[in-house]
Amino acid sequence: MLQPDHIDGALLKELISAGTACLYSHKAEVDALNVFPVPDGDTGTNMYLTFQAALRELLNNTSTQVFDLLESAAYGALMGARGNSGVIVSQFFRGFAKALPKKTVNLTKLELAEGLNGAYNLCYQAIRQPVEGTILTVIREAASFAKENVDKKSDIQEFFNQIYQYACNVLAKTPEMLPVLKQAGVVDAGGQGLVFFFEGINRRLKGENVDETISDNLLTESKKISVTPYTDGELLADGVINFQYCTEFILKGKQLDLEHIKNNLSPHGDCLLVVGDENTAKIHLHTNNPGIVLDFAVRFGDMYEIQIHNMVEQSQQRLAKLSETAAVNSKYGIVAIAAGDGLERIFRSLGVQVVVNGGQTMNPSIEDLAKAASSVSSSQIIILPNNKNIILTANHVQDLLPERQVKVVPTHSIPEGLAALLNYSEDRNLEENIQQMTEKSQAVVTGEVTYAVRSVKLGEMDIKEGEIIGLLDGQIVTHGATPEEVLEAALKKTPRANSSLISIYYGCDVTPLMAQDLLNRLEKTYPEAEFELYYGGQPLYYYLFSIE
Amino acid sequence: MAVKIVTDSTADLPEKIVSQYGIGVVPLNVHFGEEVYKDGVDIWSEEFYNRIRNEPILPNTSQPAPGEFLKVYQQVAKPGDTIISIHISRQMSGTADSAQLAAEMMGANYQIMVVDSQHVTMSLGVLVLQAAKAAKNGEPADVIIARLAKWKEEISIFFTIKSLEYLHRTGRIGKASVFMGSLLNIKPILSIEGGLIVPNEKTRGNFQKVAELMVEKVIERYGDQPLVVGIIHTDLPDEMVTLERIAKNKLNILETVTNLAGAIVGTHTGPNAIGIVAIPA
Repeated sequence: MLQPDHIDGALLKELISAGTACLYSHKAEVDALNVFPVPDGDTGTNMYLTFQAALRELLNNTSTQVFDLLESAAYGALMGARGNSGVIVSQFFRGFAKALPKKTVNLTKLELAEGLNGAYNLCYQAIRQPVEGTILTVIREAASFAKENVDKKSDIQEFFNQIYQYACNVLAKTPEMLPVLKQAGVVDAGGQGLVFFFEGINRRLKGENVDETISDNLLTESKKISVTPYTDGELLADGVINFQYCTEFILKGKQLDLEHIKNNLSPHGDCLLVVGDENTAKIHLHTNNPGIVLDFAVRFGDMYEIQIHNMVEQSQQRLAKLSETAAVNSKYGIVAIAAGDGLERIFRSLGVQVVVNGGQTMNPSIEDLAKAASSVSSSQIIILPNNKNIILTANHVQDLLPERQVKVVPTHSIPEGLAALLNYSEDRNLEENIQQMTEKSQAVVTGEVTYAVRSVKLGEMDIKEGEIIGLLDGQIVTHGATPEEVLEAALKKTPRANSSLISIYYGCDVTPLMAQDLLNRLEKTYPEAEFELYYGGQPLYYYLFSIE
Repeated sequence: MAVKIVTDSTADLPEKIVSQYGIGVVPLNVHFGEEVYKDGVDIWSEEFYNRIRNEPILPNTSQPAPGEFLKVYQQVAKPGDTIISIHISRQMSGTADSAQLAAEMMGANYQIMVVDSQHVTMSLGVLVLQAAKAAKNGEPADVIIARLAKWKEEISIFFTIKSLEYLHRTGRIGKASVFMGSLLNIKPILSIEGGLIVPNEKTRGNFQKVAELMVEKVIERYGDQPLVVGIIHTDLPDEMVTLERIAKNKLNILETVTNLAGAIVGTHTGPNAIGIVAIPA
C-alpha cells in the first residue's frame, strides 16, 4: 500500500505501468486530435509506443532505486522514441532522471518537483524552436506548479493530484495559444497524451485499478499487440468516416465476461474498447447502429454515462471551419459564366467562386455580372465569359465596380475557360495571370454539337431546321441526324486528333449510356488519342468537346 | 580525422552508392497499425509496395529515435572524425531533431554537423552524393558545409503524382493542396522549395506529355549545362523508363542515379509518384 510521503522503486514501476495503460486506452482519441506539427493522426500511437519502450526497460531492471529505474526508462525511451512527441517523451525521462542525485532510492515531493523541472529543461533544449500551446507548455507549467507548491502541506498523492489537475487546466488552454489548434477545435495532441499518462499515475496513486488486462498486454512485443484499426485522425483528415456514431458507456453488472462482450460487439464497428473488470466495464465503439450495441449490452447489467456522438457532424463542422478560412484567404475572385450543373461543379472544383448561369441564348447583363463579382471578397477579380457574345459585356463590369480591379480573360467557349483556369496561379500577379490564362486558352480547339434553329445553305452544306450540326471553333463543319455521328464527323475534320487529349462534356439531353457508347467507339477509332468524358449538364449543346 | 557522411532513409539512395561512398543511413520507421518496421532494414521497398497495394491498413511513418543515430554515428566514425549528417527537410519531419540530440550525446570526441537539406527523396539523395564525393576527395568539413548551402539552392526536383490523397492524408501536402478536389483529371507538377512541397504547374494529358514537361522545366533552368540527374519513383516502373528515355535524349547528363523510393516516401506519396532531380555537375 502507498506510503504517504514517498514513491519507492516498486511503486514507480506500477505508476509508470498505469500511466502507459491509461494512454493506451485513449490513444485513438489522441491520434484524432493530431493537427500539429503535421496532421498525420499518429501522436497517440507514437507516444504510447515510446512509453511502452520505456516501461519495458524499466520493468527489466531489478534495482529498487528509483534513480536506476528512471535511467532505464530514459534509455528505453531514447532507443524506442517514435515521432516528434516520442522524442519529447524520451527527453522527459532523461531530464527527470538527470535532475535527481545518483542513487536516489525514493521519490518524495521534493524529488518529484525537481524531476519535473529537470524534464522541462531538457525537453525545451531538445526542440529547436519550442512552440507554445503544445506538450512542452503542459510540461513546463506542471513543473513550475510543482516547484511553487512543493512546500505546501499535502501528502505525495494529493500533491500529484494537484499537479495532474493543473496540467488538465493548462491543456484546456492550448487552443488559445496555438491558432492551428483553435481552427481545428482541438487541444494539443501531445499535451493530451501526457495528461492521460498523468491520469493513469494519479488513479493508481489513489489506489484505483487502471485496467489489468491492458497492463498485461503491454509487455508483449509491440508487433504482436492486437491492432486497433488506424483511427479517427486519418479518417477525419480524409473526410471519410466508415462508422458514424461514437458510442460510449459504462456497464455495471455481475460477472461480466469482457471477452464475450468484445467478440459480440466487434462486428458492429471499429475502434472497439472494452476495459474494466467483472463488475464495471467501459465500452467504446464507433458504429453505424448504436441501437444494436445498447440492446446487446443492456442484457448484462445497468448502463451509465451513455454518450453517442455523430462523428460525421463533428468532422463536417471541422472541415467547414477550415474551408471558410481558405475561401477568405483566396487572393483573387474568379467569376465564370456557364450553363449546366455538371459544368458548374467542374468550374467550382477548379477554384471558381461564382458561376453565373448563362451562355448562348441567355447572355447575362453587365449588372448580373457586376453583382456576381461584388459577391466575392477579393478586391481583384477575374472573369471568364466562356462565350464570344458575353466578352463585351464582361469588359464593362469594371465600370460598375470602380473600387475593384476587374480583368477579363476573353474565353470564347467553355473548353477555353477550363484551359484558362488550368493556368491560373495564386502565386502570380493579376497581369501575369491574365496573360498566361489568355495565351493557354487560345491553344485549345473547341467543338460543339447542337441543332440548327433554322434552315441554311452553307457552301456545300444544305442544313435543314432541327438538324444536328457540328462546329469547330465557332464554324459549322458538318451536319447529320444524331449528335453522336455529328461529333464523330467533326473530329474527322480535326488535324492531329489522333495524338491529342480530347475532353467531352455531355449535355442534359444525352444519357450517360449514349455518351459512354460514343466514347467506346471513339477510343477504337483513335487508339493513340486520350479521351476524357465528363457530365456537363448543359442545355442546347448535346456535346461540348475540346482538342488540345 | 576523416569526414564521414550520414543521411537518413528518405534520401532513397541506391545501395550501391551507399556502400561505394561509405554513407551512414539512419532508417525512419514505417508503421502498419502497431507493427513497426525500420525502412530499408526490416522492410524492403518491393515488399512495402506489395503491402500498400493489398492491405486495408494504410501505413504511417515516424522519425528515428535518437538512439538510432547514436548507433550509426558510432558505426561510421572513430573519435576525432567529423560527421556531416544531412537530413530530410525539418518542415516535413523531426528527423533532424533526433540527429541533433544524438550529436550532442556523442560528446566532444566527435564533431557532428547536422544539416537540414530542405529536401527529401532523391533531391536529398543527390545532395548527399555530392557531399560524399567531396568528402572522398579529401575536402574539409567546413568547405563541404559551405558547398552544401550552395547546392541546396542549385538543385531542383520536379515530380508528378497521380493522386494527392496520400499526401493529404499524412499531412505533407504543403501548398499543393490547391490541386485537391478538382473534378477534371489534372496532372500536377510539383517541386520542393523552402523545404516544402509547392505546386509548379498543372497539366492534362498522358504521362508522355507530363514527362516531357518535367524535362522541359529542367532545360528551362539549366540549359545544356552538364548535369547530375536523379530519377525516383514510387513503384511506377513503366513511367520510369519513359522519363529516363526522355531525359537522356534531351539533357546533357554526366551521371544518372535512379531508384525505387523506400517505404517512407512511398507512405506519403502512395504508389503513384515519379520525379526528376537535377543539379549542375
